[in-house]
Amino acid sequence: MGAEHARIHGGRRFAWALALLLAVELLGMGLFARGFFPYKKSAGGFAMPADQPEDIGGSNRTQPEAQYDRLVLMVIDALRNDFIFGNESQMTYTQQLLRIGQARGFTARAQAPTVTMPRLKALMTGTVPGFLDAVLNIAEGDTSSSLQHQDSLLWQLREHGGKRINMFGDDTWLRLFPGLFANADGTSSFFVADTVEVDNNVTRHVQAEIAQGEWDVTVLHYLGLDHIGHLAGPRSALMGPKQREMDGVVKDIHEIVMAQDRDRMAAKDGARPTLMVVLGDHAMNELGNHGGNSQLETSTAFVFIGNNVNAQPLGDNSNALTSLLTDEVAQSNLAPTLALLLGVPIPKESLGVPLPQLLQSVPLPQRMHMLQTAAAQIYAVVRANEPAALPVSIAEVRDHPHAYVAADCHDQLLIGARLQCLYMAALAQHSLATNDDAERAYYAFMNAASTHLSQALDGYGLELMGAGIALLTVATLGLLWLCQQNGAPVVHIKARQLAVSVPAVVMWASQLLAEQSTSLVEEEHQLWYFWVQTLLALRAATSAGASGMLRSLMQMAVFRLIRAWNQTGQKWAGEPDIRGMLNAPSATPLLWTLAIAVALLVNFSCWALHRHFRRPSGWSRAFRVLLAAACTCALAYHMQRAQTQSGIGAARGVYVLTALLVVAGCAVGSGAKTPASAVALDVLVGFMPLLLLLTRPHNHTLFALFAAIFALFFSNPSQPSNKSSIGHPLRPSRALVLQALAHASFFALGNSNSLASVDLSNAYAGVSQYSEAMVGILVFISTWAGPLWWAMAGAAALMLNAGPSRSNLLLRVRALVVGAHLWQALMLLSLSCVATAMRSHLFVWSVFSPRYLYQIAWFAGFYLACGTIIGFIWLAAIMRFQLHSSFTPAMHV
Amino acid sequence: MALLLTLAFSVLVALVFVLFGAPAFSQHSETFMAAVNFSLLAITPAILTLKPTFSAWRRALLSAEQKSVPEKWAAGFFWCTVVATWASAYFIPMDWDRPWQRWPLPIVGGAFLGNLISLLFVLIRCFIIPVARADFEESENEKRRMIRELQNEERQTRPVTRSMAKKDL
Repeated sequence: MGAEHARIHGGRRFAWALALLLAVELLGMGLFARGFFPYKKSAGGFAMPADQPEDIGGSNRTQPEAQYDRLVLMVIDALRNDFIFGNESQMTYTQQLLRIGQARGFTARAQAPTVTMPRLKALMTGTVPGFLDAVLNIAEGDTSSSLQHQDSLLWQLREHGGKRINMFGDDTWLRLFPGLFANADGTSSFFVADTVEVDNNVTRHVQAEIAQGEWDVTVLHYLGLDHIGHLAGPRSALMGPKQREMDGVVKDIHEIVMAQDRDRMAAKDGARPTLMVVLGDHAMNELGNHGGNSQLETSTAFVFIGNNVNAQPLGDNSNALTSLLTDEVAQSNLAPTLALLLGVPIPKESLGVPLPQLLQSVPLPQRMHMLQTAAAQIYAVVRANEPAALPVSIAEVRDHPHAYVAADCHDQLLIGARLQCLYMAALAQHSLATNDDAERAYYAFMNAASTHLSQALDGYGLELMGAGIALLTVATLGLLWLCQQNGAPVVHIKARQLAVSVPAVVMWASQLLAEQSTSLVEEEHQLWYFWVQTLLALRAATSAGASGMLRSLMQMAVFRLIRAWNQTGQKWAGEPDIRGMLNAPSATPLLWTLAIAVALLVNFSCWALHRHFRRPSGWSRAFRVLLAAACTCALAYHMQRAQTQSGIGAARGVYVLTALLVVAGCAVGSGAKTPASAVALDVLVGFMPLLLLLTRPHNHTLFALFAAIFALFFSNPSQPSNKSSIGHPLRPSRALVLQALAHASFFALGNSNSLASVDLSNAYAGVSQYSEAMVGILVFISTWAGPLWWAMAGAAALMLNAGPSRSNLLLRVRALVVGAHLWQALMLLSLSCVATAMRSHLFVWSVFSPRYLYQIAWFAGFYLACGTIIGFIWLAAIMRFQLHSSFTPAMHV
Repeated sequence: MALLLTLAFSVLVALVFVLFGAPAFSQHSETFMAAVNFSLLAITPAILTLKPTFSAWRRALLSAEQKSVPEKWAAGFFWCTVVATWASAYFIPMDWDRPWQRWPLPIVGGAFLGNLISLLFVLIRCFIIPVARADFEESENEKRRMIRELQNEERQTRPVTRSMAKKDL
């Protein structure tokens, strides 16, 4: 008794030690993230007309002449190249312009992260924005990522072009360019459910502002197409009409602008026409999501419309249009191209290369001057990054051109010197003769420089990363020590004997190793599925009786069904799956039948639970009524959403009812004769409506399957606790299987380690006004719905499994918590080290950065906030309520 | 008979492959052939050596108890092949895009490799160790016999120093 008493009192010291170590870990993670995600401070400064090089070709100008006076930039969010160039495209007017040579189209290659804000930055500055912009894209209140202090095309147009700039559409532009627009009307991009109003809000300005208003540059940003993608994917029935609508807008603007150009050019000599650009900021994958690095997500479109774009008429041949699907240019090329065409300096830090196809119509001497300007700008960036690139004197090159023309640049070992050599060769060629050779020489230099720079630019804070890794190491070692004090990672507790579980160690070690491989990070779900089946198979093999074996095999069968539900990852993401089957138009009745069946099942199991524990109180009845109402609301929400209504009322109903359920649950739970396990199961059931609300209907059935697996753990009442589990050294504990299931369920609901799979459409249920905290929490619950379910189930399992001794239970909780945190700390540490080691590779951005963000959420959101803090409060509450009652053994669920 | 049993087991093994993630609605013949291959390598030795009862198999393959030589032989083949086959599945999701990564080639290769290792393992465990142990025990017995004789001799001649003689041993 004395020893037991002492152990309970050791709890306070344990809690302090754990809190301290977790704080250190959190700090280490924060420091590392601060250094790793380059929150790029730009070198600062803006390109000035005075800095532009004089024309080596002989004219006295420093700024090449403008080819266009006005610009219409029409951004269609998530416009994939085949939405315009593909055979199924409904944008017939735009296609007709391309066919008759009034427009020139390209496939524009975007870079990860394919979300709006970093893409707009790339388009407007010509740079490669950092990964953190992807996160700030969601954190809408953030203003520190604005382009106020960074050179951009729009700033140049206003300051040096003297243009009046208007903007209508996505308010991301307003955050990027505060105070820059003469006239603006922003729409919030986060009501993904709305596909109509967001666009009408933009289109109403076409007549008012473009036709009648005063402007030089108009930016329009349409969001509806992106929202349709998020809601129903690129093959949605709404997609065709939306494309026709966008096409109609293109037609209206084109006609207005052409008429205005005729008037302007007749009225004023020397006036130049208007250029119109239709483009996408990013594209979408076959599920309608984006954020990652896949071919589909990065294939967006540029269409330049204007009199002088000098396009070859494509003709009526249908192959001609689809050939544009492979005519690729980089997105960052837009900024220098438009700057040259509109006669303003190129943004200072641009890495883009002007598109040669659009400069074709410019007379040769001027064109060469443009190329010289562009080359000088990009050479300035080269010099800022490569010490081996020395200042180049134009006078020197002009005086001795032959010395440089003949130089063999590939002999230079240093990339900086090689680029300098190429640059000088181009200048020399230009000073000798303005001809195609010089043009080729300029492009040879600019392409080499642009390729090199976009790969080499990194802004890591290595000191911060080092400090973060050091702190993480300290935290990991501390947790290891705490583990030694409080039981090994995942332990079998039998009296006072602690033993490390072999499957647990092998599983976590293999997951740690897998983090080092890019493909295994992308396919992490495969590993978890494989491990869940392995653990269940081991349980089947080592179970004492035939019934135990049969139950494990049944769990494996159910899990096989779960893994077929959502295909995710990269390699097999497009394979057929059950989600696809259920979302097919013909399967709609089945989808809703299943969803209703799950809701009924939730209510039935609640009724059965209350019956089993004999609690026929008024509160118990209230609990069941509330549960039924909440489930109904959740279903109503999804049905309204299916008919493209907002469903705000129904969603709020679920929130209110869930709050009431918590109250009723507390009242039921504090009843004298309620065992702790019943309270834990009430928690699981009571939060079901919320989880159903925040996940898509096709995933609802998964919760029933989870419940089936869970119930099979406890379906043998004659065998109270895990009596047989101690016997075999290879037998995985139930806690370990539950943890593996939690991780596997994350992927089973369709998530992956790519940002593309974050499903934003669930995150705005019942939200009518954007609130960062609210939406953040909803995104978290919606994405981690599976793991959260298993966390609650695990808590219930703990209670169902607990013997009469309170101190044993506390010891077990302690061992589980510290074990889980040890593995998370190891995971975080190993990911930090990999990310540091791989920091100069391109796939750091496509693979390890998103993985790190997910790991942050796993640690800080799931294990720390939900698992440890909320779990602690929950346990304390149960302990308080249940001081007197004894725990019941296993039962039917 | 053993081959027929192996074939029967192959069906079960194929089902287990599907549970672990093999395609359920396509490539049935590939999965089945991989299962036959696996059964031949992992299970046939057990069919040949173990009594056809559940408990005998359980004891030989799953328990941690002391085992006889045939049991060790069967368990060696079984476990080495299972572990190697299991581990080789890790090659499937790698993005190397090699032709041999197609289902079910990695696990067929893994099964062969595991079987090769198990041959070595079984050789050592079932033949070299028992023979060596028999040798060792024989020489021990010889030693003991000699000591006993020596003791008898001593007892007859000098019974007083018996305790000392024992100490020397």
